[in-house]
Amino acid sequence: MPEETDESPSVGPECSTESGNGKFPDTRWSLIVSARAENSVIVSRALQELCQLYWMPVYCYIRRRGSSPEDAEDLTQGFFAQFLQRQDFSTVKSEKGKLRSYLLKSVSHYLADQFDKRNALKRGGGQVVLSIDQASAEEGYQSQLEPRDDASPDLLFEKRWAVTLLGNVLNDLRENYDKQRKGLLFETLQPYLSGTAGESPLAEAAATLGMAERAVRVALFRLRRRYGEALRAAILETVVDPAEVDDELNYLFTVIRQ
Amino acid sequence: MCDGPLGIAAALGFCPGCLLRHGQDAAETIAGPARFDTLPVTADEMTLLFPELEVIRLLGRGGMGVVYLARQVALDRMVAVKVLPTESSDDPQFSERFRREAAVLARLKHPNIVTLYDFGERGEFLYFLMEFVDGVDLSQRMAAGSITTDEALSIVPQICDALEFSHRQGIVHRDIKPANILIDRSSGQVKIADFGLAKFTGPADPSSLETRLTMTNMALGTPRYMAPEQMDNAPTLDHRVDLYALGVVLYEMLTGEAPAGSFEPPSAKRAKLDERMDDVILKAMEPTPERRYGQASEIKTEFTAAMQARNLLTLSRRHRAFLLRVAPASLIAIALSVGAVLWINREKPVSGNAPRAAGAPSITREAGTVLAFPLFASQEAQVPEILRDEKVIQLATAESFGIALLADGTVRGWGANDYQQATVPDGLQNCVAIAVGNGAKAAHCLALTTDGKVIAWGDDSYRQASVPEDLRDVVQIAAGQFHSVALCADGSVRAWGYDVDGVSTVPPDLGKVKAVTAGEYFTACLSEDGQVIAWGAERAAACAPPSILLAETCTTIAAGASHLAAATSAGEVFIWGECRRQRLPISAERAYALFAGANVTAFVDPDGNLQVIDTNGNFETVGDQRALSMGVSGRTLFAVVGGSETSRR
Repeated sequence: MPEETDESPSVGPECSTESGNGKFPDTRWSLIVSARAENSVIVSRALQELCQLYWMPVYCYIRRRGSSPEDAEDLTQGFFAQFLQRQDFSTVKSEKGKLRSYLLKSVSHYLADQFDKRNALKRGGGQVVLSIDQASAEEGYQSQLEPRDDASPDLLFEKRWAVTLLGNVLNDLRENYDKQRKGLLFETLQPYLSGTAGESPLAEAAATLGMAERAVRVALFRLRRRYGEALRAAILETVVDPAEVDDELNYLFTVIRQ
Repeated sequence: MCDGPLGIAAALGFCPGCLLRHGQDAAETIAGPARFDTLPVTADEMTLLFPELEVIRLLGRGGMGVVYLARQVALDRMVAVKVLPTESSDDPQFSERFRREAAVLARLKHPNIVTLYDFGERGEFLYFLMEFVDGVDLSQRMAAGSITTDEALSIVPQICDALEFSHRQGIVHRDIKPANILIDRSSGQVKIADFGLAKFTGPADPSSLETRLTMTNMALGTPRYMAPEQMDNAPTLDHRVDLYALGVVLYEMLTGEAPAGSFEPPSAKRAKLDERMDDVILKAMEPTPERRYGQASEIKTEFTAAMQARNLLTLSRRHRAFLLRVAPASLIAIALSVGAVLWINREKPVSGNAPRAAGAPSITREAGTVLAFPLFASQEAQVPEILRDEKVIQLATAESFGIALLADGTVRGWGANDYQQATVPDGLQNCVAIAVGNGAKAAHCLALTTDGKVIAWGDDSYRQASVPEDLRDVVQIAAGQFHSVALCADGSVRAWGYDVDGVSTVPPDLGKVKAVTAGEYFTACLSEDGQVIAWGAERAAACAPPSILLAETCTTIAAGASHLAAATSAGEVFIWGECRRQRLPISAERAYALFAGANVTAFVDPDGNLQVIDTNGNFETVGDQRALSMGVSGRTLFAVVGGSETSRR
């Protein structure tokens, strides 16, 4: 097992390499809502990427509001079709909106609209703007996040949001470790990172990896820090102001604890 | 791992709480209890790494490393040892630069700066041996309660002295934040920690050695205190980044909150603060370095002057500041809970078909026009279009929507309509009272009709809008975030909807009550003998009335989202719950009507002035007309005023 030294996997979503002149990169969401977005192709792509990352909470929300799985998939596609076509995010900028709350507000308005139009389901049906796997969507919806299954649609959305975000970051990190040929290290330490290792001592991991226990502890420490940084970077992608990262993190904590 | 439910972790393959915590650790803001396996170095290993030290205990940990308290045996002194894992210790260039730059820091000696005794590399770790300060840091101090004027006058000049001294030596701290400002327990002396270490450990400057340590190219960490040019990774940073951060710290010290987004001036958030302080803090926080102060000593001079110039009764730009006099007297009228402000008037029994069961209060139905007042220095407030020129009896408002009861007994809604909460059911008439859910996520409405029936609409996710079929003879209504409450003519209480934590489970031994109200996750009522009884989520601190109230007879209660207010027969208004001024009695000279919404409590004083206090303790007089009914939406207070025309049905 190679000792973990330099060349750490770089973490965090790959974003906005367009501004790779050493200047602090715009985050996707701030890019979308900022008036500086001269290049609409970049904006559309950023928006599309964000939607692909976060469709699951939207789907769960629509399901909880009472739609069947088929209707929910149609409505999710219909909603994102409308959302992606939209060019004007100026109101978000003035409200310092986070992507999470903006998306929730938008989907709730969208459903109210659909409710008014009644027949709009047919109109929304058939549009495919995102790749949504129906089976995993239902699995995501059905898997209980809590003993109570009476969470309000809003709460369900926010819980799903948090879990989707955390899962995405974990997957990114896994890929990065894989690229560095440190897949075994990641898989062995991942339960300690994720809080699922229970009481199993770190010595077991050390034995599996053939490393000294202290070296494993340092590796775990680094893994945790990288996860934390990647998480902050991913959250940064969904807010306008970097100063909001801490607030968003704390907010997601309160959501998860409810 | 954590206290989260295990089922979730099993279903997902990870524990959300644990993963989220790594994000907080990465900001190096948490120095909480550490688990054995989360430490890169245990105390035992410290002893092996540092044979010259007697390691005593762990002082704290952050995303970057750990700090231990130790005794330096040879010199018999206490030291703090900060240990950071590095990934570049085998790089000779890194080591050389580290040694050169740390040596400069070790020469920085000042009474208000934590002295760096020694530094170096051991194995894969960098370490810093520092002076040990026995005390708390400023963020811990602020968490314990608001900073008094005297404290601020003691702490701030010392911070300025330290910065002035180091800046003269050409050393920039780069990571000034409350957690780095230590206050000695016994002497009160302020010492700034981690001077210049941000260069090696912090996220501030990716062009420095830091990138070698974290390999992340983003300005992560604690961006709240970072100057814009620091956030942008400007190639040349100077001492003015520290002055910007100091501005943020000052704002937080005085107002209890860090400024974010388009924040309000400090004087709008802290009573008795002179407006000159706004100028001092805003100048320190100027986005362009050239427009900031040039030196910390200037901030010291102007801060001290502004702080001492505080004036107890100053005129703010937009509003008259208000100070309540302590002079108990009796309440003239009583009134009610958010969303269900019924006017109960014993002097003027009203004819008509209001509920008239035995013991039920009669209900007057005065109408007036709606005015909107901006609260706490917000810019503007507008009356909803559909209420202009209307005679209104009662308002019930939430963050993004509201309903109004008009003089003709009909109801109108406006604002957000995602749950059809602003769409009043067709044919609704003969209403005497209305209520809307209390809480940021609330989206349901209630109306009480003249025949004692309750009509509900809007969000029904928890069946909060499904009124029990056998409910009748209702005289008062109230609504929490996801539950609804009714007081019946016989003094009994019914609640339905969300019932987690028993918020909708009425205590069996409740007895007769005379008023009900509801907050986000709690329900409260007033017993016949004037006692406040509340139940629901224990985390709602509003549930436990201050014990001092046991000796009082209350006449009115009103609930905000997470606080409760009660007025006593002696004329005192008590506010408690999730507010900084927990359980502090606020004495009023006879309050007319008590009202609470979101984080605001409002009442009308005997002169007819509409007074408002928020849960941070900020006072404001917003109007001089007697209000019949009130509602809060965001930073706007709506009030029904006038009342010259009485509509009686």
